[in-house]
Amino acid sequence: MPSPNKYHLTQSLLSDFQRVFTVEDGYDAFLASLYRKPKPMTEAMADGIAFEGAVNSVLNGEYIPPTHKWYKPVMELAEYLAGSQQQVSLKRDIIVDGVCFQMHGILDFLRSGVIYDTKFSKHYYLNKYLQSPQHPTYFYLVPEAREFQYLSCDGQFIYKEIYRPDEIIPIEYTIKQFMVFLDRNHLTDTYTSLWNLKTYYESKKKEGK
Amino acid sequence: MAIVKPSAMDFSGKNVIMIISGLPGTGKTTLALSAPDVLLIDCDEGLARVAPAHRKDASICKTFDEIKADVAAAKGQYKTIVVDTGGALVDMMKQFVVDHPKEYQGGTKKTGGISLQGFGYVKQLFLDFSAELRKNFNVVYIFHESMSKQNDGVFYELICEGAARTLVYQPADLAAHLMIVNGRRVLGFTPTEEYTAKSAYGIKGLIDVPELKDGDPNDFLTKLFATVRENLKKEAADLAPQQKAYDDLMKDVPGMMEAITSAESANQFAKVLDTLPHALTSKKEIGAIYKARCKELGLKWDAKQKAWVAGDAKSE
Repeated sequence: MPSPNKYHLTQSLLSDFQRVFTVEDGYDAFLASLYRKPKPMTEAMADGIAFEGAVNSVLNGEYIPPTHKWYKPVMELAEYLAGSQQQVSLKRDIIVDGVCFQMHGILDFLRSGVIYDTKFSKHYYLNKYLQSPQHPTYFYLVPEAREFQYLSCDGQFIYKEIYRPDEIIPIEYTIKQFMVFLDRNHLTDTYTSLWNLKTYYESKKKEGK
Repeated sequence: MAIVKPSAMDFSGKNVIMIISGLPGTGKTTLALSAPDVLLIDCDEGLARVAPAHRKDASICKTFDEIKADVAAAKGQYKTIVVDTGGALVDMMKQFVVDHPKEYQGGTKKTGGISLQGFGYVKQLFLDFSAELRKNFNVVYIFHESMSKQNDGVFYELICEGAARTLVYQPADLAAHLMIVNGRRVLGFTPTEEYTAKSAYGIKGLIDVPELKDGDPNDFLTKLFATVRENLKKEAADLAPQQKAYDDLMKDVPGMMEAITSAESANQFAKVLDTLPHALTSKKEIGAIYKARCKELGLKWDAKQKAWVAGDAKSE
């Protein structure tokens, strides 16, 4: 990869890269992400956004009626997350094999050394997020964090999955695999042109984001 | 609710909830009985398979009502409740929901048997029962496992009603897969591609379970639970000074934000932010609060000047 350019990188792109090897249409989905095509809104995504929105609303003092379909888990989480900072946007440079990436992430909640990420998934199973690049990415963004908690809701119950910095494989390893994969599949040029920090933010500006 | 400062937290009485799972014949029940002062809730007639020297007091239960009654009577007399098996307990809870239709409305299908809503009740019963048990006892849930083929290998899964299989892990601090490797009995606390597990409080990876010879005390879990408490105590002691520094700083943040009333004071605060006595994630948290405060005041960030400017100011 050419240097000294800097490239935008998110846990979401790394997650889509990992799914190439585990999901049937993973490669196509990864290409769509790599080409920065907007993802079609699925029911699961809409539920996730609505659920997180409801938790944030309650934390910001809004009222939701007991008849709300997710009243019990939303109130449970709101109580658990009281006093945390919501939507903390962070970035940090990382150099892997001489290439400079700017990692970017938005933490759902942060409080007292613990990063919290809410998920909505109708089918949770233990260690669901074990292979996720999200907690290694966020531990890189917040090296002083002592714990990462996934708080996954199935609409009725909250499932807590906890990771600690000393238990994870650092995000550098995933980034290395990602770089090798791009090279082998002749996708490096696509990535470096579309995710170059300068062009990335210029196009975001044009999109009005 | 009584608020306890981390420095004053005492984990010497912390009760542990643990899942032990494994194939038949691996010695799950004998291992579970190595916990301190055990009462075995035997839903599976597992005690008969334990060597007489290692048997403990047992309650043979056929219904969830019987279990609740025996657990209530055990308060103050035992330190650990072993449920053999967790899968059988969940089955009894299913029957309990079906038998109490007034209490669990919609829990039974018109055609008989438990409904989807009924499974929701069972899950809540399991969580509530575990929480109630933890108040007075350590809890060890024993689960049988089944083995299925997955890709090129095998996967071991708890034998438990599907809807509850995931939830039973939720209240557990530790979950270990008991296996026999080259003749050694080993507990796996870290999940692998072959089995699910849960590690915590410094208990992780593979831990050998020593073979019990005649006259050996059966005390493996008694020692393990003591280690959990020691690790918790050490962790709390390590965290206490950082937590205190964090709490002391964060309580001053509202005052700091009130003092920001203009672009000038906002830019002054930017210089102060780095010099505060930060602890844990206070710097990033205060940074987020500070940004929100600037936006609340209608200020905008001028990337060229690298400073906050009034909302109506033109960028240079």
